[in-house]
Amino acid sequence: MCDCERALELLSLELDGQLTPEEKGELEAHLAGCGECRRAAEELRQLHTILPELEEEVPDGLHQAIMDRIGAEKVVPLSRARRPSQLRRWASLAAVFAVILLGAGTWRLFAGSGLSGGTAAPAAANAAPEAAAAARDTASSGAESTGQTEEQPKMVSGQGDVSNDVSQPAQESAAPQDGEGEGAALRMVPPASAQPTPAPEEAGESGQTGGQQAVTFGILPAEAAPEGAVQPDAETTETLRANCAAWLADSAFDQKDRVDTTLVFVAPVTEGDLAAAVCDGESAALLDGTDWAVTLGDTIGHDYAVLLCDSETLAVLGYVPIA
Amino acid sequence: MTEQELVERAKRGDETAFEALVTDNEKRIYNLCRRLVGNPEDAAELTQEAFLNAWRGLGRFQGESSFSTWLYRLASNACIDFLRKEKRRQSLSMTVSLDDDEEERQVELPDERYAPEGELERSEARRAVAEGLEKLTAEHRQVLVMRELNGLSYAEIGAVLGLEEGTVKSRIARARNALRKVLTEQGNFFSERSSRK
Repeated sequence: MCDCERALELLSLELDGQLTPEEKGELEAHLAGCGECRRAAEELRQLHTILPELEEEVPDGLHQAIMDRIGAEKVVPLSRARRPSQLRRWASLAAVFAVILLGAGTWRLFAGSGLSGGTAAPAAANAAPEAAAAARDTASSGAESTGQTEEQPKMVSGQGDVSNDVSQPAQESAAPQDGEGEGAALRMVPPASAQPTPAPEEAGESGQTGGQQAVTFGILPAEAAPEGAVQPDAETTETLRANCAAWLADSAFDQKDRVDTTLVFVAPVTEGDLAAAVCDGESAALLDGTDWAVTLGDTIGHDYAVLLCDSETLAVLGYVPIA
Repeated sequence: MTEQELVERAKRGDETAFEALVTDNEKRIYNLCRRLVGNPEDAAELTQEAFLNAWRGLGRFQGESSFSTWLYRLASNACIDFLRKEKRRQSLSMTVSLDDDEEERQVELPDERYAPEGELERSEARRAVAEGLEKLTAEHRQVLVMRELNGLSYAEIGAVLGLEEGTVKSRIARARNALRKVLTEQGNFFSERSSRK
């Protein structure tokens, strides 16, 4: 049976053309006997007609103002943080190489006089012959020939290959691969440009010039971050994930039990996050553009949460309402 | 070009593609903000911020909803936040603020004083409805504006606000009736109009 409250709901649905035939019958039956609701129907119809007329044109200059602000943004959505990220990775890989080379050099030095070198040396010693042989094979078809009779040190990066012919699995293989070098000068060539998609480094960038005992290699990040966003390292991500999962468990969110806290995605906070953030006064003071927006759960659907964490303490400062 | 294609290009920094997205969405976003916060200046500012946040956040947008749904959500949240802050900031004096509002609106529609009588009545009716809207809760105003001004479907509104369709339906029904009640209590809105017919 249809009472007035139900009738008002049905009237609303009718305005949007969402009534089923049964509901329409129900409504008409009620209206036939209810003057109040007949008046309500008329009034609701008037409002339904007038409301769309409130729509205004966009004020003059607004479109341009929007585009001016977009243009004033110095960074472009994707490539924003690639550079620092690549440099960091490259710098740490370079440091690893430097240690190995030093170790290898030491080994040579000591091997000559019958002593063994430091901790890096045994590993270097074991890896060296195989790596050198492998490197020789791959390099033989390449452009690098220096005319040296001794084995040439060839540092091969995880992804690219100096000869551009042989592709290697994209793992961090910098450590196990090693070479011995006698007076080898290490020349490191950074990637020519920060590219959003991984591409094999061309031999040209990392080629050797004749006569020089230079080792060059191209380095690519081992994995590309999704959409080119800056992300913290694995350990930090895990700490963030754990902090957020714990915070969520203690919270009063409806969806907290449905959020899969094994799924985590971390990105720098955006202006939108900062504007929409909910946190208490103390935390709000700590919240700034250097902090992390941590998304827990599956973003397809509604079973996820976005929490904001301090870049230094990694503690949860607040959250971003999803709806 | 589809919205998806434009978004893909915009993600790679194509400002022209993003401008197309702005053009497609600016009127509805502006009107959403205009009716949610009640004045054109703040609405313009919030509209700019919505698009700017969308531009900055494109890297994070993964297509889990349509771009315009996401944009509506950004704008809507920003407006609600703005209203909360405004509420905290202002100490409301009912009689004074009502008078101020009416004066403001008269300034906004100067030409209509000289319009033929029928149109004048119509524009006054619109003004009355606009004022009535502002007396609703932000929640009611939100769904009513999205349905009646932006023309979003129940499903789309549900996607923007993270609500089930059934919830959207009943909220819209309650919003419409709340508006009707406000206009009835305020005075002669309906009785005048119906007596003219």
